[in-house]
Amino acid sequence: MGRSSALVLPALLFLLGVFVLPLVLLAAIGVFPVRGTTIVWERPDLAPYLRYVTDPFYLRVTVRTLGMAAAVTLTCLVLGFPYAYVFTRVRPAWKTLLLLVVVSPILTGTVVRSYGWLVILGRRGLVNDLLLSAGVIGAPLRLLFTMQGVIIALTQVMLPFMVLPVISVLARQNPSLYDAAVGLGASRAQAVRHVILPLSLPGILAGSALVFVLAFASFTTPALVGGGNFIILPTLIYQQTQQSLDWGVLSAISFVLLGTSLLVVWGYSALVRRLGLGWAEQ
Amino acid sequence: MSAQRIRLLSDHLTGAALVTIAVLAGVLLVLPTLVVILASFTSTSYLSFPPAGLSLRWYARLLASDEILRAARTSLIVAMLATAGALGLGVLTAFPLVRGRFRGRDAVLAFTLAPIMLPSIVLGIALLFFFGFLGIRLSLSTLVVSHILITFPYVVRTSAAALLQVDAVLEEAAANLGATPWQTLRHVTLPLLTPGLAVGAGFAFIESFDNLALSIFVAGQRQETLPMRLFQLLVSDIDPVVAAVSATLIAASFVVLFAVYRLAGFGQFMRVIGERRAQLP
Repeated sequence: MGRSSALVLPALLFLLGVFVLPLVLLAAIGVFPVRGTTIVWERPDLAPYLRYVTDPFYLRVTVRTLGMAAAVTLTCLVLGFPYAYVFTRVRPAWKTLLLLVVVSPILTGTVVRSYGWLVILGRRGLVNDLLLSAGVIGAPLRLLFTMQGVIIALTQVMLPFMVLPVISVLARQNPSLYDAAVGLGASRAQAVRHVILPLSLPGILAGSALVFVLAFASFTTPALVGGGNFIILPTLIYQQTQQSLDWGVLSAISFVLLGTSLLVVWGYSALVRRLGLGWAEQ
Repeated sequence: MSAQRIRLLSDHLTGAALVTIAVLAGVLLVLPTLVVILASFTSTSYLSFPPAGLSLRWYARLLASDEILRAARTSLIVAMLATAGALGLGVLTAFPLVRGRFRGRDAVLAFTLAPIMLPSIVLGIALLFFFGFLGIRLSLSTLVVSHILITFPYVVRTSAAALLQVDAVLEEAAANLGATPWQTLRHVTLPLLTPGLAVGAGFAFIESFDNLALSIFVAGQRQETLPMRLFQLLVSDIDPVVAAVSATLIAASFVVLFAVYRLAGFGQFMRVIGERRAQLP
């Protein structure tokens, strides 16, 4: 067995070469000045980070990205929990259908999904066509290139990541717990509130952490549905590489993205431990 | 009696509210896909829904567009090369991780999965600077290497999971009956691993074919992939030809998934989907 462990070496070397080294360099250009594509290894300073923190534009984009990710998480939760609940209460044939529906966004490509939303939310899109012909509105609503539009589109993309963890937690519970609560006189609302909701808490927390992290770092959907008008951190990175290459700030933005993701993951595991929800891990 | 009626009413209301929201969520989930398919058959030049008239003109435009076809070919080549690389590297790594007993095994496993935990955009910008720093021109190779980086962790996961299912007793039996280690691998272990490897390879292929956030940073001038082409077509002005491409891609992914479903069963099918949730520990 001593020899077989050497088989991991190619992968380790590969990761060291094209994963660790690039990330180390990315961190380095945040503290060392860059000329062209060479690093000037002299006195390190935090100038790019200072530029990031003191520029109101960058701060506004950061707050906007956090807000958007939080809104997407909340919307996914509000829509995803009832979906998962209904899933656990229907017959097997319906379960297969509901499962196919919930994973369908994952099955379609990232650009394709966003394209669908461009057609739906556009000036002459489905929503505006319906509302105009029904006489609800007099002029087309502006839905594309707004925060609302991006939140709606991202909710569709992220909903599977909320629903699937909740379903997998609820599927392992004894369904008669709910029936027992109802049998003992609880109303349906009480049974959902006091039985189903606490039991699905591990799934809800895992799903929320996952959706938040994925939404916070998402690129394709915000870039297309938000356009140049609604800019968040990932689309800002891309925009900056197309215009001027301020490597220092690009590095700072990247590490804010990374740091926030790590913080959310860390907070999630701390919360799971604190609430004693480790039982749902397996 | 009346309290009973109120209780019944409230139960119905609760149930109706939950079902309504669930239906709303279902509509939200499938609407963009349905809209794309319908929009691809529209006959007008601007986007309209529902289509004013039916036609296949956007499919004709798609087949006449050299740019789109070239991008599709690039994507296929990149995805095949990346899948082959990911499969080789992934299987090689999975073996010692499952069968080996060495210190730091869990750390190595976590490390090999790290590339898919990172936002693609951060990895993209890091690789862009890295290639520039080393004076490496962006080319097909930089694109493929980057794609291997984000696909081989999936192969490690799926082949490690498949390898766990293979009973080591079968391998011992083969060895006891006089098979060389290579014969055991070739005739016992690999055939048993095939379904798991197929899922891993399929997933690596899809992930590479669909990638945009990494490709836009590491692809050379002449390696525009299909997602990059579609992105450009949508950023400048919404071109309905994208609908035809999208509908074709949706059809293709359903054919692939149906094949996985028929060949490997519902469990493996859900595994393919479940892999996408692997991005958070």
